[in-house]
Amino acid sequence: MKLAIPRAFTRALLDAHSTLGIVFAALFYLVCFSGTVAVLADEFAQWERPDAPRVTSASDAALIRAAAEGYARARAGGSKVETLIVTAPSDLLPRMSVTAYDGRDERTWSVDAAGHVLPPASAPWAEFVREHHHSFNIPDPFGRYLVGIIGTVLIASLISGLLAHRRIIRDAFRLRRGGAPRLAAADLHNRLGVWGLPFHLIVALTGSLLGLAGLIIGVLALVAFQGDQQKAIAALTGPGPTADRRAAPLPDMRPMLATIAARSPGAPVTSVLFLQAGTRGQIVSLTTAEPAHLARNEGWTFSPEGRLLAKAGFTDGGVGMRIYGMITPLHYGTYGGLPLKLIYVLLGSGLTTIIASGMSVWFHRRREQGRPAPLGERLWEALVWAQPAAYAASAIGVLLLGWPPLPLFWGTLVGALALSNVLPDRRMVRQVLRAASGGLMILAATAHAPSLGAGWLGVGIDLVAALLGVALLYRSVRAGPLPGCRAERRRSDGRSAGGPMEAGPTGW
Amino acid sequence: MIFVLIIGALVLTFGAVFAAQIAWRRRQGRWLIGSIGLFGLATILWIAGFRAEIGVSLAVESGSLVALVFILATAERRPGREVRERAVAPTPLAPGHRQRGLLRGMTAALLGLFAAIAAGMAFALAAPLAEQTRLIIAGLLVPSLWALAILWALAATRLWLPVAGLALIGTVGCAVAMLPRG
Repeated sequence: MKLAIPRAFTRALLDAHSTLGIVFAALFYLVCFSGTVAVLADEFAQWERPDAPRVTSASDAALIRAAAEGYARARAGGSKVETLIVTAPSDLLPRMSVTAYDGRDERTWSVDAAGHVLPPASAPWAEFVREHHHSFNIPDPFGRYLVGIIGTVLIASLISGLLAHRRIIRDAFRLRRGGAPRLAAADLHNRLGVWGLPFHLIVALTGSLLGLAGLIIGVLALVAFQGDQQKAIAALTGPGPTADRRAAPLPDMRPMLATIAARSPGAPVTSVLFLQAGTRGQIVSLTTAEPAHLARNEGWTFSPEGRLLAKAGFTDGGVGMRIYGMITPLHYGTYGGLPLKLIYVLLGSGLTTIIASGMSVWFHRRREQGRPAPLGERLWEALVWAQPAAYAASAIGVLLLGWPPLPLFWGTLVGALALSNVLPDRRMVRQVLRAASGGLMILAATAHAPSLGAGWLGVGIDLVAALLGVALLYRSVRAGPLPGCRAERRRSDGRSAGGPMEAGPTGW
Repeated sequence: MIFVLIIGALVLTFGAVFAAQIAWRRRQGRWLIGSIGLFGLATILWIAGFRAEIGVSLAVESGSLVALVFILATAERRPGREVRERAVAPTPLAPGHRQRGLLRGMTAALLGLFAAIAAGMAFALAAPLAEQTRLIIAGLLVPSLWALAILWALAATRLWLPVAGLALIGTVGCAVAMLPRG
């Protein structure tokens, strides 16, 4: 018996899918592109600061010393130190640091293998890459909420696209390149969308939860805990600090580390968190690496006397805590080392291609219906092809001039959008920005190349950036001379300028 | 050993995709069964190398990537075609189109969020599960339900249906969340 899906149903869902795509296309693209780049934020931090002390493992003595010295340094600098975090090295990021936070200021220092505090080896560009995806660098909590909302709308777009796809089986392996541009873009959009769907749903759902977590906890606190957010958080994460704020020294970590060694032999400590540090009500939370589990970590909460108060249960607890522990690793692809991160980069690039090809389908349909949107096409081309340029420009500014990355990024993007308004057609916008992106990526790789001690990772990133830059320049040149230039005028036989027929406004 | 398992899993995944394509071309069920079997074997290898949690995730992610690479590599190349642009007068929009669109958007955004949060809170507080499990699943439910509410508001032919439905879900969810608990 054949299952007949009413055409009106799929028509309505397709309209909804189109509406969501058109209204949110720019935000989808910004979040997905930034997410693809942010997967490698740890690697970019090492690329940006190859001179930072490399620490591959932290002994108990190093952890204790780092906490003590970091706390002393922060207090000497006038900080009240509400929270102290020692971040031990991991397999993805062989760095150690200590951060002191007092509610207003945050101070971070690098730590060497012996646990001695060193001047900070900050990586502002890598930090920008991370924060740009988390919140577009909009102040908390609004930026995170915005990104969470975009994730939610993306879920709606994915589901509507799937349900509206009547030919999902018939076209399962069909991909036409060339030919009618709208059909080619539609094939690419549908094939990438269907075959990458598990990945897209996972990152959209986990991303929307991570972004909206604050809002959800706030409402939960209001409804079930008389507005007490700490109680709401503690219901999930275990006991928090008590109200006793009388001064006290930092707790002795040795009994805690001994407890962990007994309960989870061989598990290295990846972070130590002191909440309400330096008071009698303080607590200490340690996380240990659990590479055999998708959650990657287990959490242990101790009293100041060293008594184990709670184990989080990310690896062996109830269903809820095991899911909770998996959310961040699933979103960022941190559970399978660098190879899995590269898979995430490729699948993330696929998601950005879906968004770009979707808009391509819409623009082509409008042209075929006699309702072209030339300004919209040019602006969209600018948004798509200025992304690599904006990232490269901000990296160059940080590496060569010590400028902050945020204004450079947005300045490049806004400049590209303004340029698209001046250039006469979308093809020129695409060519110019591809060339600019390619050139800037080569320049960024060249600017970084002389860095001493870059290691295989730094060299690898420089090489990939340079190769991508060359590829973009090649595509730009191969598309043929720009309209109005001498080579173009020599082609006076009535044919349009050379270059392969492209699938749509974005050249997909 | 792990390297052998990875290569084996990738080869089996490629075989699964190839068999699926043959099943698609020839409309033969046995090739589809073979494809599912090969993918199952690949998943077993991933689990053998990385245990269940990570192994299943790797099987799914690598499966997607292998399928996409296969489809891109076997794409049909066609000669380019010019886009024929028609010069016809655009179809005028129905009266009240913008207002209805705005109403749908607000229903999707505000009423949908209200219903999703209310349903999530009701689950978090009343579902017969351990506390932490209730809270986490409620957290995942909120964006999922909101996404479905957005779709309902945008796709329904009669807007009163999602408006009434979401208002009812929100009200019932709030009532359940406010119930006294022992």
